[in-house]
Amino acid sequence: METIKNYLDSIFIGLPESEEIMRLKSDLQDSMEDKYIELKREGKTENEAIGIVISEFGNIDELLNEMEVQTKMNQSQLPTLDLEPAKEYLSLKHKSDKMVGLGVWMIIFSTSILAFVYQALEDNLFLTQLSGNAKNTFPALIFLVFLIPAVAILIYSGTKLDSYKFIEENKFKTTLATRAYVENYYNQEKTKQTQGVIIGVSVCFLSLVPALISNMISDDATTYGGSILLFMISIAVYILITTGSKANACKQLLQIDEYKVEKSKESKVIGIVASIIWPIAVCIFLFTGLVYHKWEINWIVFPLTGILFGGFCAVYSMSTKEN
Amino acid sequence: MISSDIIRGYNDIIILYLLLEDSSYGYEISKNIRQITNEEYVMKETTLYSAFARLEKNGYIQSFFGEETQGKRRTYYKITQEGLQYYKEKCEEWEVTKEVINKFIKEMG
Repeated sequence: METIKNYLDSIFIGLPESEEIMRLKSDLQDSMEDKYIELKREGKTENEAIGIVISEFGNIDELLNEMEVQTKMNQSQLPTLDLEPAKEYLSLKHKSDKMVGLGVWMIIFSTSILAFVYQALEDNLFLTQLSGNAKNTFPALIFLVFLIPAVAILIYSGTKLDSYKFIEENKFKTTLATRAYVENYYNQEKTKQTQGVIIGVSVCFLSLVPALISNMISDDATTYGGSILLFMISIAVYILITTGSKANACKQLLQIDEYKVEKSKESKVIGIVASIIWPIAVCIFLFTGLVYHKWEINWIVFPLTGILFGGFCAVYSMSTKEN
Repeated sequence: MISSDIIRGYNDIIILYLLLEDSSYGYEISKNIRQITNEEYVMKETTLYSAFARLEKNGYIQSFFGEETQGKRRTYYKITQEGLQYYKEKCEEWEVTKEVINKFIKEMG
């Protein structure tokens, strides 16, 4: 049954989603499913039944001509994605997401190490001969040592997928073989994604434990607790970024959920907002740190930005869904 | 099995005939065609639905939603007065066609 639905989905890709077309699609699906069920009842195997149903489907152009459908995008002009490039896209996308994960991990980790070094210097745990001024600047130096390669990695990860831009712009169509392979792969990855999300979110919550405990001990310990909190969040974020990567790449290839042709606008808006809000957060962080020496508290800007950004994404998708 | 090219001009007759008695829906019509012709003619899905679209556009049939059965709310079609008229014309046209073609048919022994 799923195969019939997928078959129709692949045929209707790129067609306007008007009421008329959607009605036609669901009529065709009902009809094909009825035929499939009857063939199965006559004792045909699943494969035989599907084979017959699809071979008796006919030619969609015949139908579209009759309905005078103007195909918005001329499908035949879109590049076809074969199985091999699709596999390569999946693997490249995963690699690129791992790099993004690593980059983001390094940024958050650098704030964690920054908080730690700042407090350790304050407590005279090492480098005791440094002057007061140097003690304020030294943590920033360490921060930059992590930040610069992190930014480099993030930029590089973006260029890795340049040759597959047309996929991310939804300007392609897939062959049936590709679709079947990706669907299969997606179903395997979906469960892994759920597990990853559960682990990532758990680590997020657990990260509060050292922060709360250290808070009970003393003010100075709070900074160490904050450092551990950031470290655990950095790991959680890495898990969250990389875990959905394969499943999301599949969704992109299948053009489902948030990767439907008309929906890609939304992720673009979110992308633009992200590329503005995060550098601002980093600027605020560096500014309050270097100018006002508030390293012990200003890391809060990152979790805050995260919460605000997450809230924005949720509200934005809700409002576009309603439209 | 009959090729769909030959029969193309007569798909309308077949569908309208099956709607003469009662309204019906896509799969039922396609199943009836298969049974009546002893599987000599199987109408492709897209052929069937483009015929529906054409017939409805010309006012020969009307579509409406049926009662929900097995979780599906099917589109039913019923024949209109114009459709009945058109069916009669097509039948007459076929009689003539049959006579004309028959004049060129020779039993080869």
